[in-house]
Amino acid sequence: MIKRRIVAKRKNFHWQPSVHSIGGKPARHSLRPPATARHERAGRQALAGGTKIKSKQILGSINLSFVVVFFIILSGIIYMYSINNSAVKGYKIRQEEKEISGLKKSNEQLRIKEAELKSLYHIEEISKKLNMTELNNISYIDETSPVALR
Amino acid sequence: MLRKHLNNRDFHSPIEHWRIYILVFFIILAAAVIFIRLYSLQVVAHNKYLSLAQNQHEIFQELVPERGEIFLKDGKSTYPLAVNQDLQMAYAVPREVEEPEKIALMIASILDIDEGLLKEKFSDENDLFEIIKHKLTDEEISKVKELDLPGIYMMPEKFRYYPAGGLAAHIVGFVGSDGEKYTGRYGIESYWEEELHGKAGSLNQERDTGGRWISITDRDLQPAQDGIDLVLTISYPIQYEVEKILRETVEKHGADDGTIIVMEPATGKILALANYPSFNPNNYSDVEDMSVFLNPAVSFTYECGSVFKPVTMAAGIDDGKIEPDSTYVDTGSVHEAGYTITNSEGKTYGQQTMTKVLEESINTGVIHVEKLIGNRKFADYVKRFGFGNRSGIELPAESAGNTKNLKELRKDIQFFTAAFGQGVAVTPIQLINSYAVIANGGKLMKPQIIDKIIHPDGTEEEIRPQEIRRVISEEAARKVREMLRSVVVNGHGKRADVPGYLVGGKTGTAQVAKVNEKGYEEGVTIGSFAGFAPTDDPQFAILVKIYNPKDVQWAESTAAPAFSKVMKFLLEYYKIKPTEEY
Repeated sequence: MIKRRIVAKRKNFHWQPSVHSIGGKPARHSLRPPATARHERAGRQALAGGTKIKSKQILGSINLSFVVVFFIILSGIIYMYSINNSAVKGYKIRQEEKEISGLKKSNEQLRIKEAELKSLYHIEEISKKLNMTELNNISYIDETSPVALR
Repeated sequence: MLRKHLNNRDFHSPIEHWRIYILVFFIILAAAVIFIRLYSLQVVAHNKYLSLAQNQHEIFQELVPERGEIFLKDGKSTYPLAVNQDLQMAYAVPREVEEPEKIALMIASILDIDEGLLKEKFSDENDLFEIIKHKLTDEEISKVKELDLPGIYMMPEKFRYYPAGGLAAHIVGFVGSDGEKYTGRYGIESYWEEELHGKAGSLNQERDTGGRWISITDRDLQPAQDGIDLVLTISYPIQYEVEKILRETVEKHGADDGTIIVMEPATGKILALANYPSFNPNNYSDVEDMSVFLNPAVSFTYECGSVFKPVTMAAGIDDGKIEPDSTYVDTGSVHEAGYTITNSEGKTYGQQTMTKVLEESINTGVIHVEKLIGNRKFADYVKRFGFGNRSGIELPAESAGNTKNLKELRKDIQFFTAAFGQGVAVTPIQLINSYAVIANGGKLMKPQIIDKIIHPDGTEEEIRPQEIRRVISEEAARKVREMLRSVVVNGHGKRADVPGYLVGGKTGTAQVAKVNEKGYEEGVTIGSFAGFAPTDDPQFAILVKIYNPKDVQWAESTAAPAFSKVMKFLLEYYKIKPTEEY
């Protein structure tokens, strides 16, 4: 039984679980370098030539998707905010309408109360209680006389 | 063996497949039933279920317009005669009421209702709605709320309220139920129903599971259009005083009823219109005799008697046939077509002037004038004064009166009696308007009761006085005014006078025609006095009518004193300076 362990090289600390060969043959996949190592190799190749273009492409694709996601999230937030805002405003309008209605009602009641108090039936009744007498004779003062002018 | 059996099965007759056939039949039947049911639900009852579904997630509400209010004039401001009031109604959902007997007892003591009646209302467990009491007071509302009883609720309801109670009841009418909805009944409330009611609107909006409307969804709103407000020409203090004087007069003489109308002759505006007995529009259901709702000032017709004589005299003067000092000889009676017409109390006056004819109210004198004018022309004058046609006042159930007798020109007797107010039926509003013609220099105005319309947007529309026609010349009107002043000074109208002022007018004591037969009721009279002041520049025209006074016979003892009281109040209220010594 061969016991083989792939250890980390240089900066690539990549841990692979222990692989045990069956019947003396090593497992096939254990011979392939780890994915991280492949990526590093590709990165080194990129550094050797055409580095600028590649990096730009990568940056561009990141930005585009980022912007799209950003705008989706942003518009979602704005939508939620506006919905919430209009719901709150609708509630406030409802409250204001209720308040207006209440004030109108109380104004109406006061107006009716005022009319009842101003009623001549009421005034006559009160005047009797106050022992007021009816005016029978009216004396008109001549406005041309000195008395009326003073 | 098996083959044989199979072969036997293959050749079974159709009758032997009955199970399959029955199964197929039932499948087809079930399919047909389902199809019919679906058709019924989705096609036939489409609208019903659509509206049910809409009701579950939509609010459809009819927006009721605010009914317009009615105001009286009160100096420079107004006084509310008819307003809208929000009140609470208590109702029960009997199926939710636990311990009905106990709750009935509690509610009965708070709302002052019969306990047994409440028990009966709460007894039906399947009942969903029972009205307990309308128009709850603030105290009742707070007490019911405090108890918080299961199945007992309150809801707002609008009512028409008349703060002045029975004041001007015949003018305003009331709002009552016609079985389906509340509408204006009688008076201004009825005549202006459409304009006062306004136009209903609607609101259609989605709602959430809790039944609350969702503010962020679209809503279909058709706003209601409120009714117009009306400001009447009726003056509150004058109406109040006139009603008081009328009530006192009717009660004093034990009369059946009475009417007083006060008019501004120059404009035709009605300043007061009172009838007694009256009613309180807040409690209209308490009235037992429905006829009390009718407004006799515009719907009652009667043969007014001698109070009509100035009309005949005005026609004679305008036609140039007589002058106030023209003379004729009274023989005490006139014979025509087998009838004998005599003067009141059978008196004979000999040679008299036309002024004296009015002062003494001589029947033969006005017959003399009518003869001079001629039947055709007399009938035309009567019509031009406004008799036989509705005056056009904006109140319901106005009568046109009855002047049919003046259509048969050959029947002199009918024209003779019409000359002193018998044989023609007039309404109080027509009569006061004819006096207003004399007071207003000969011009007939349309009686006006609406002074101003206030539209829901706040714009105000003044109603201008409307001249109908010139009836007599200004000069003829002036002469008749002077003659009527003489009636008050020297004739039967002395008790109508107001010291210090030039008051003119004429009494009239009319007999009451029998219903459905010829002749007049024995011992039943209608006393009227119509006149104006000051006669040199009339500001007010007044008619007082007292029906069937029991203690006195003549109008000079019933209507004339009431006229004087009303006129005195008006002259003082408007601060019109006395022109005569007193």
